[in-house]
Amino acid sequence: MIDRLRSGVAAGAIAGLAYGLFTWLVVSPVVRHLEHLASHGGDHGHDAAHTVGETTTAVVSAGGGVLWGILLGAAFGVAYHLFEPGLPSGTLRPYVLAGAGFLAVSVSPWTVLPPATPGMEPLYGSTLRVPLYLGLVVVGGIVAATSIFGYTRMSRTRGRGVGVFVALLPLVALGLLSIIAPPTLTGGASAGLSAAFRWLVGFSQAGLWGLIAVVFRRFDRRVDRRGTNSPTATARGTD
Amino acid sequence: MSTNTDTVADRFATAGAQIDPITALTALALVAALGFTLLFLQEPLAHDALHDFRHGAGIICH
Repeated sequence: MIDRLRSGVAAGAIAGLAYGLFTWLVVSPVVRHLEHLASHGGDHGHDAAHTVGETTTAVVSAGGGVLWGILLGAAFGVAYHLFEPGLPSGTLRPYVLAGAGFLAVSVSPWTVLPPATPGMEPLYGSTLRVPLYLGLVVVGGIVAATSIFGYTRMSRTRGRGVGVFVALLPLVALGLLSIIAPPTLTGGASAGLSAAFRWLVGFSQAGLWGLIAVVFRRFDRRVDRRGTNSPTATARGTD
Repeated sequence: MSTNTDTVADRFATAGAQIDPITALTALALVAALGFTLLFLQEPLAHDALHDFRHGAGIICH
């Protein structure tokens, strides 16, 4: 357990550094530019008056990216240790868990509350959005768990094709939720620009999870070789 | 990779036996504090400083 947590935090720190750099070099300038566009396009952005300077925002945001990576990495390590026996397909396990994490933490909240392009205004206050966000993370976790459980169950008895089909059902249900959900944002940049920014956000989060999984797997294999190579998996948790 | 002899329930049982509740609570509290600060803290100074990060990570509560 502690070994896994350590691997997770290390993987999260490395992935977080890369993500922080990405925030610094790509996200901050893009956000700055889009906000500039929004404030010159007539409707002023929601942050016409910043209480802190742009440099501070960029630095703290980059640091936030690093901490975000560490937080996700730590959660990843613990969850991996606890749920490893339930995850399908040997060496693919870290990637399955990373996909589940991405689905729960990012994709599921985005179905109702899509990423806001700079300059957009939320329609509802944060007192409504915060509980909604947390609730959707829980929903995402349930969707991911159902999907994985359905796959392992069905592929064991009915074959892999049926397993994949059953695994897709909860994901389709989540997709339907995004279609029927009412809009929560208004205004902002053009539709094309807004879509591009959302893809940027989506790919960067997916990349962060993917990087965590790749690095975690490397560290985990090293721990495996160095330490307890005994067949009992529980022996690993004893140090 | 480890062998498949144990189950998820076994892992939870082992973790429960090896880690005392206070340690688990402390770890959980730290994670919650970090998560809250990054995602939901509305205090203007912290909120504005994390602004780009929240946009970039697609976190709605910015």
